[in-house]
Amino acid sequence: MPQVANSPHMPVASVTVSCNSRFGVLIWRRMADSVTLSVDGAAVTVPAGAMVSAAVAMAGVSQYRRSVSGEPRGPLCGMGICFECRVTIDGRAHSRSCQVVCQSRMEVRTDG
Amino acid sequence: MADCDYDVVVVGAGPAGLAAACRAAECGRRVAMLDDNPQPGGQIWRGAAKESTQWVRTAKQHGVEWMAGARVFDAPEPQRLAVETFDGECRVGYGSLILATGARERFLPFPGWTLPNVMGAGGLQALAKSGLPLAGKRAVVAGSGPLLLAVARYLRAHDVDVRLIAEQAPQSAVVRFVLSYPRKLVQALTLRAGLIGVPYITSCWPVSAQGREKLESVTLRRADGRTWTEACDYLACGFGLIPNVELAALLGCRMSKAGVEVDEFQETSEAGIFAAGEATGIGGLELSLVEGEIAGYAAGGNPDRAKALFAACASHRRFAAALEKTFALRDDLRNLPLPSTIVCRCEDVTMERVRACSNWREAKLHTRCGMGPCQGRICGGAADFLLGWREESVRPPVLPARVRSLSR
Repeated sequence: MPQVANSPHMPVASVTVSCNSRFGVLIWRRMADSVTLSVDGAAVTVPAGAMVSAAVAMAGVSQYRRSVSGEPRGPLCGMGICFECRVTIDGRAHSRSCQVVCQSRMEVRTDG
Repeated sequence: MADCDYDVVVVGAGPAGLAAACRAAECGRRVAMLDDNPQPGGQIWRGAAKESTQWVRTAKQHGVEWMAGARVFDAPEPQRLAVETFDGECRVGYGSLILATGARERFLPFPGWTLPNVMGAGGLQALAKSGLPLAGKRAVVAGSGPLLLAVARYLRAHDVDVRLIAEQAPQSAVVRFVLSYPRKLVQALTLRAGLIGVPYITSCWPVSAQGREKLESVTLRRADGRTWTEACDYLACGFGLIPNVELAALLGCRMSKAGVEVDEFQETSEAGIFAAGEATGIGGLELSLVEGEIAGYAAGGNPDRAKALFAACASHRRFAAALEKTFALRDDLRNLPLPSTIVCRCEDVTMERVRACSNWREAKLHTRCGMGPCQGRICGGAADFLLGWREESVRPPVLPARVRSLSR
């Protein structure tokens, strides 16, 4: 079972746009210490503010997707450029996991 | 998501974008700052660095509107951007536009580079800062540039077993560079002090990565031909940085050899469109901040304050030129990919298929190289170095977008 990571560099308070807020409206809020989401059906608890890319790795999955010729692939650039870390998040296929912040009860599907 | 209009729109919230947004807002302009990441700070200040917190505070004080997770995928009409977020889309209008789109790592293909856990140097650091626990893992840091030291230091500080740092540049060039910039010498020594016990091997580069379903070991070679294999869990490998110029190209901005072409006020060949930071050429943090400030003042209508920064800008540019010379990629690296090595990771196109073509356009048409989701952002940097090919035209959407966003 994946463990909650000690992650001293994660910000305690950070800027996030609330899911329901109108575009562009800022919500400064103090986040909970950790969130639990599901990766391929398994529960994973990650530090608040962690990206989905980290949650997938913490779930023990190294193959985020399969390439067009069937090779296993995982994150390369870590910054939204390469599209190698794409997974399905809450039904949205081809989401770049390195740019989506984990939310409680999020459902993540990989090809792993 | 509602459409909106601003006097100044800044694309990118790294150092250059933050500086530009703050200065334009100080000039009394209504400013919005967009970034595709959920937090401001860009790559260098990922994970809420102290410096970024100060700039973010200033931006907030001056009423800069911050749009998180916002990707610009098209410029459908003059002075209007098409923007998509994780769950919505809108149009953002601007009087002036400042492009601070930053840079990405240059990746070079070698056998095994597509294995999971082979990442960019900045890529592994970004993933670590995104919450991935790496304590106790073994990592090899390789490629080229000062970023390797910074990444190795970061990993070490987070209890990663950094086996070695492989820098392709020769020792003589690195030493000459460090000695000619005393302030950087101090920085380099401080970094090195945090890396005691980690070999920094110059004239050395990875030639292959091995593993079944993920990375298990990497084979390295020195310029004198010595080759050995190092067992590791992660390979953090980047061969310098290349500017993100796709949006500027879509907007019709002229390119220089280094990146987006700009005048001394950071204005591009398109009136009212400015570019600042790594997008105009790789120059590092200090240059990005100054360029951002100049662009912000210029777009904000205060050219005199911009002019006061020209001297600082020129001095940082000299440093950038020395950096480029020192870490120029050696010719040996052109032999890294074997004929069977995948060059385009999106479409799994091999080196032999790409090499059979005579230019980038032909490769795209005949092999689909560069035609996948990343649109050549990864293999383009490799093709540029390996074959001397450059992207000739950029078409919308500059990023894959949802049909709903496109059909507006």
